[in-house]
Amino acid sequence: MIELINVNKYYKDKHVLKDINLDVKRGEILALLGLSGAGKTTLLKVMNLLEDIDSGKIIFDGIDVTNLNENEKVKYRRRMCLVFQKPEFFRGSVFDNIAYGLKVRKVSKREIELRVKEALEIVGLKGYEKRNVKTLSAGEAQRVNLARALVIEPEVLLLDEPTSNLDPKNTEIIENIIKTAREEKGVTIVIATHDQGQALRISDRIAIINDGKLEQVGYKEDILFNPRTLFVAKFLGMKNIFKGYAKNGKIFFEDLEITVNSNINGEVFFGIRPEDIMIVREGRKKENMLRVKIERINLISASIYEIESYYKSTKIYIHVPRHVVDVMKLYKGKYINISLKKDSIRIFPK
Amino acid sequence: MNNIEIFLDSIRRAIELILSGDPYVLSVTIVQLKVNLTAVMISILLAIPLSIILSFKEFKGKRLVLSILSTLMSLPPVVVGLIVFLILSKSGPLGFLNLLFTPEAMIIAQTILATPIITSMSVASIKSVSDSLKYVALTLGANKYQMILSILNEAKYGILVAILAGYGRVAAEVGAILIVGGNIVTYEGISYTRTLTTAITVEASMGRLDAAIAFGLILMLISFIINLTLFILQRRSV
Repeated sequence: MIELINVNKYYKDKHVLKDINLDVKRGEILALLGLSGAGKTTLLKVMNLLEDIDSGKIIFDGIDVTNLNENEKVKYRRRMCLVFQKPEFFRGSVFDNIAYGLKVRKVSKREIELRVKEALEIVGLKGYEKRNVKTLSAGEAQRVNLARALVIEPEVLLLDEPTSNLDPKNTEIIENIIKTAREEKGVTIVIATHDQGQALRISDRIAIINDGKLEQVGYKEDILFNPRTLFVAKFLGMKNIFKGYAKNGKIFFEDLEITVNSNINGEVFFGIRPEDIMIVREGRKKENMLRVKIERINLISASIYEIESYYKSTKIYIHVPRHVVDVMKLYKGKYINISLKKDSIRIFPK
Repeated sequence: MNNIEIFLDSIRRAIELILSGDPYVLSVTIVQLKVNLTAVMISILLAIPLSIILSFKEFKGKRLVLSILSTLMSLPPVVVGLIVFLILSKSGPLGFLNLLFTPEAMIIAQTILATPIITSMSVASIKSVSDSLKYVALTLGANKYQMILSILNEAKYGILVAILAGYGRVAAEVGAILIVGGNIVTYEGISYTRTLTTAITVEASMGRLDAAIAFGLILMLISFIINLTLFILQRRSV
């Protein structure tokens, strides 16, 4: 639906988008995941033709829209809509604000009234037409912000951190509206977020952006379990990253020899997700086993304990289901055997 | 009569003068309003498009233009009067137009006084509309023209305040119109280029306190109305 080819963008001397290649497919929800300042907003503005690019190409629905004049841009811009992170309204009522996109498209008054009403129902703010936008709460404001985009019935909805200022309940409401828009209207959605949980909850694919560069784009399982860069691995919760020396399918690390599925040789980083580490019962043997000392046990969600353990001076995080702590009688100071399964180890050449 | 009695008597006669519809007082008031309003109207026609260009177009030297405008805002009226006088005088570049000592000359001088203030303040109030609202308008499908109208609509109270500030400046001004208008009254005692402000200077210096006070009262009434409107607008724009 929107394809970016080798897109580069500078703000004065700052290189904010670096060789971006991204193909947003029709009808998908793509999460643009990255930290603040990574270039998410700029990328969305570029897709919306609100910002010119310095080099590269933008293809919208098969048509090159890179170098259009202002009038032609409006034509394509009207098939999409960008919802900004901070709701900014025009002076006046909720109705005026939601009707705005329809008014500039010269939609008839009667149809505007119907569609605004419908949009307010979709976002759960039925009857809010006459409210002054200044009196809205943060959650309501964000929903009106979304409603004035939905009312246009865009083919592509670009969302910039739509829930970053909201509590969990309002976040859930907004996420449901987004999912419904895709399911019922087939809207193509690109959502920028810094929250990996949100990206996993609502998207089909995730594009990880870091410092203006796309680190990895793929289905979420792929991104999560086959991170291609150290940044992606760390960003998506691979808390155990170590430095070692790889040779002939083995990594030498501390005084250990760890077997891996890789033929890379030389200095490498390698990592394993905390939930992929297995605790091995005393007396049993497993691959890549090592003995660690438990330093701290911390409940990090309703069902998961995080165990901070040490092998010599190396800190290793292990996530275990709640019952494991009781069943295996884990406590601070205890020594346990753990196994780093070679299928779970990911290697990042230096 | 002691001094206070003389003063109070002057005020009483001044009010009588206003209420009686004295043709001299009336004509001075009309000249005042005509010159001020026309000058402000022309200023609006110049300042609004100028402030739109300055707000929405990027060009080289834009900063320079803005800083010149804010310098012009504080230009002393007497100096403006002098410059217009020199330009319109017989030997000046526009002397052939024979405009010196006419209401038109006064309008020119006051337009020069009001335009920078209306432009600068309008630019400031357009600027105060959040920049991201421009993007909001565009992403919601507005073309450039529609976007500019929407932003102007957001800034409308600020622009009205700018216009009133411009009016305030020219309404209270004496120096420029005194020089280029000449403070002329016809043989019939009807004002040609005499305004409330210039009239006060003449009447006061001639010791006609009642007339001077009458003009002062009318002038105060006008500025009171302006300020009241400003106050209401500013409260609404918040």
